[in-house]
Amino acid sequence: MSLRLKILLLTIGIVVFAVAGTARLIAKGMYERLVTESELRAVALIEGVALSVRDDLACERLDEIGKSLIQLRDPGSGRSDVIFTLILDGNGRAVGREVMPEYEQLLKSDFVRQATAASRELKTHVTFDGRDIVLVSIPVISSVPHIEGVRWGTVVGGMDIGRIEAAMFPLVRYAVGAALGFLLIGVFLLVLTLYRNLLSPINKLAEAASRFAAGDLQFRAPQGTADELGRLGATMNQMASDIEQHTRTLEDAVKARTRELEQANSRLHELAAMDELTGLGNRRTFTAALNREFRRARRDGSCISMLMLDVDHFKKYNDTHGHPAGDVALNKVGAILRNHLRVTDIPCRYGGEEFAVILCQTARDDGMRIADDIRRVVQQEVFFGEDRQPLGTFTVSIGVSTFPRDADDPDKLVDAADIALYQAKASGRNQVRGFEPGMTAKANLSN
Amino acid sequence: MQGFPGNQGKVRGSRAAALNGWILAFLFLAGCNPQEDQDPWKSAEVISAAGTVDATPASMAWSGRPGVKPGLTDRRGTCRAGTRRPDRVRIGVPELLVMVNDTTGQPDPLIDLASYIKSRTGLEVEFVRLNAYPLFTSGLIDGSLQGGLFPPGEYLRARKIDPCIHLVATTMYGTSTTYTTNLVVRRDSDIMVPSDLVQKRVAFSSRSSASGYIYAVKFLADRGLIPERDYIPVFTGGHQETIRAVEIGTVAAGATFGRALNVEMQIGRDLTGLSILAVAGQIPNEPLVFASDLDPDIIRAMTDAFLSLNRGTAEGRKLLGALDLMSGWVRADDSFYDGLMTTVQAVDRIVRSADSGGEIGR
Repeated sequence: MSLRLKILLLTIGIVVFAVAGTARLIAKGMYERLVTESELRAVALIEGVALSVRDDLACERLDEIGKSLIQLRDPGSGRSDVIFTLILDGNGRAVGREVMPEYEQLLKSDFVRQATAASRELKTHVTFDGRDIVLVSIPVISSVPHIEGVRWGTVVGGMDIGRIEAAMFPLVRYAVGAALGFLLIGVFLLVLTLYRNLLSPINKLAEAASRFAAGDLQFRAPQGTADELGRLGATMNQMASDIEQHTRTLEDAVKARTRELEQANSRLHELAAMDELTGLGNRRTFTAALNREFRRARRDGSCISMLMLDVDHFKKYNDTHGHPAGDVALNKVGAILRNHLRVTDIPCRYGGEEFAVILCQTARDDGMRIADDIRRVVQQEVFFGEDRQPLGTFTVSIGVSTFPRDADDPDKLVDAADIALYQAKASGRNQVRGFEPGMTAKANLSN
Repeated sequence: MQGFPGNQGKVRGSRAAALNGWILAFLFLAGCNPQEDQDPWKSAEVISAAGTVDATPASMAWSGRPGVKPGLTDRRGTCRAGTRRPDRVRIGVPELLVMVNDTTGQPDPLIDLASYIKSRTGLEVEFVRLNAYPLFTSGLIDGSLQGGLFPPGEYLRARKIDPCIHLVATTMYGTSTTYTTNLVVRRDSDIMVPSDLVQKRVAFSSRSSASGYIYAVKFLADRGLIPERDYIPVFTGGHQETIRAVEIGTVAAGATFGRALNVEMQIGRDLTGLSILAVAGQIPNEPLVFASDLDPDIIRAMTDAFLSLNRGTAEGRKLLGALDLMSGWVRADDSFYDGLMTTVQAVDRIVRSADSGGEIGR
């Protein structure tokens, strides 16, 4: 059920309740007021009668009393609502009366007997012939305060409240109608005001909340008024703006972190595959690459030549010039391999001062030639303190093996190259030797 | 007709009042104060069951103790019961209480009233009709009166002199125990509201008169008019004299009470040239007062006799029928006159303020 419907139903309920309650209250209040006014009027009129006849009663001027009572018949006297007036002397004897014929019986009521004995004003309601009658008695007494005085008599009167009610009913009806009319106008204005100032802004705020929830943070809630709803709209807008700004900042941060993570992963990957000293692939890279190239060569039916390269007398070089100089020399060898090989060739540091190179789609002769080129370039390159090497210069020995000529799997290919390297070392170093069947590994040589 | 020398030929009732009024008017114009030059007992009449006589030294039985304060209080200041049992009880009544219209030939109703009281008490009763208020107090003090239907203001004066006098009842007119003061003006005058009386002459009967002075001064003071400062007070000595003074225009207005106007009309005077400017006050009617030295049994008998007489009985209607609207007496006590006392004190302050430049003291 929408808020609009709830408010509509609530308003209808309030209106119905208010109209019914107000009508009842007005009618009840008017009736009670009417009765009270009628009673006051009855008392005032009877007091007026008593006042006008009291001196005549004291002096027993019955003619004057009669004249006063006759005046009551005059509708213009304002006392025409008095249905009877009875003047009693001090002994309870009636000395004057003015009564409408239909109320004659009231003169014999108990109230009249009580009135003659009462020392104060009496007032009571009786129902006579279906009519609501107010009976009032006023004792006529001369006295000074707090001292018993002289009682001259009693004035008793009655008023038919129903006559007064009947006379005033149109006024009551008009008053009730006017009150209800004002009430309806008031309710209409209330509903209009509620709709304009409460319901409509709430609807717009609800729409704004929906748009925000759907991610439309560019939407803006109404905030035209300075009341609570206006402040709520402003707060919602501020909240949407903050969320938008925060999201943008978060997205930027995520992008930056992702980029950093990618870079870190790339670096980590490089670090995992690369020899840090020479910038070449490490042994694991070599093994993976050799297996991969083997699968390709078997698939293509192509050749692979492998170079196993070892620095001659590297231990002595290290001992003579220190490990930092040895590292520099190894780095330079790596650079030579990188610079003098094809893009498709894969140079790696195999371990210590040993390097391994995979020459894809390269036959034995070409492998031998490339190996020799590398040996010669290393020999020609200037290394720090190379003159103190046993050969008088910084050199490398290289063993070459070729698939499928020398081995049919990667491990055997490596062993074959390693055997050829051994033969190169054994032959005096600074030379290239290709694997030949019958070559076997011998005892350790010092570099 | 017996009387003091110089009082021979005094006209009673309406004729007396009319003539006195003209004489007083003349005296006003001559700048005389009539009250000061008047022999207080000159116009007194004594009415008993036997008839009416003018007051004489012998008939008034002067006590020879004029001005003597009664000594009826004990050392603690409380009143002691009186012991005096006179062979006749004289009761002062205001002249206006019972006006005798000689033209009707009717006997003075006070004669029958005296007879009735005598029949109820067994005492000789004489009513002394007085037209000067101070005579009530002086008569009660010096013993020439044993009781009185006091003008209310005069009662306060008597009570001040002798706190032990007995107030036993108050007079009823119709059913009312109070009356009002009326400010009357000439119908053709330009006095429309009380404030028009500024710098005008206003007539009062005497300073102790409740309706003829006290309540009228209070009424005017409540509207900002202070005697001597804002208007010129003139004392005429009586209510009828006040009415005359207004009629002939020697004063702009006069203060009197409603019954005085009724009495004037009853005796045939045409008052259509006057109009009532204002009605004020709720003044307690004339109290029935007895002397402090009177025997309590006599006071009780007299009180019962007066209270038994009202128009609720056939005898009361017969006796009181000639007394205007007077319908009898009802029991009362001194507290009924407290309001009057308060007003008197207020007027005293007003008058003193006039003497001191207009500021009303508290």
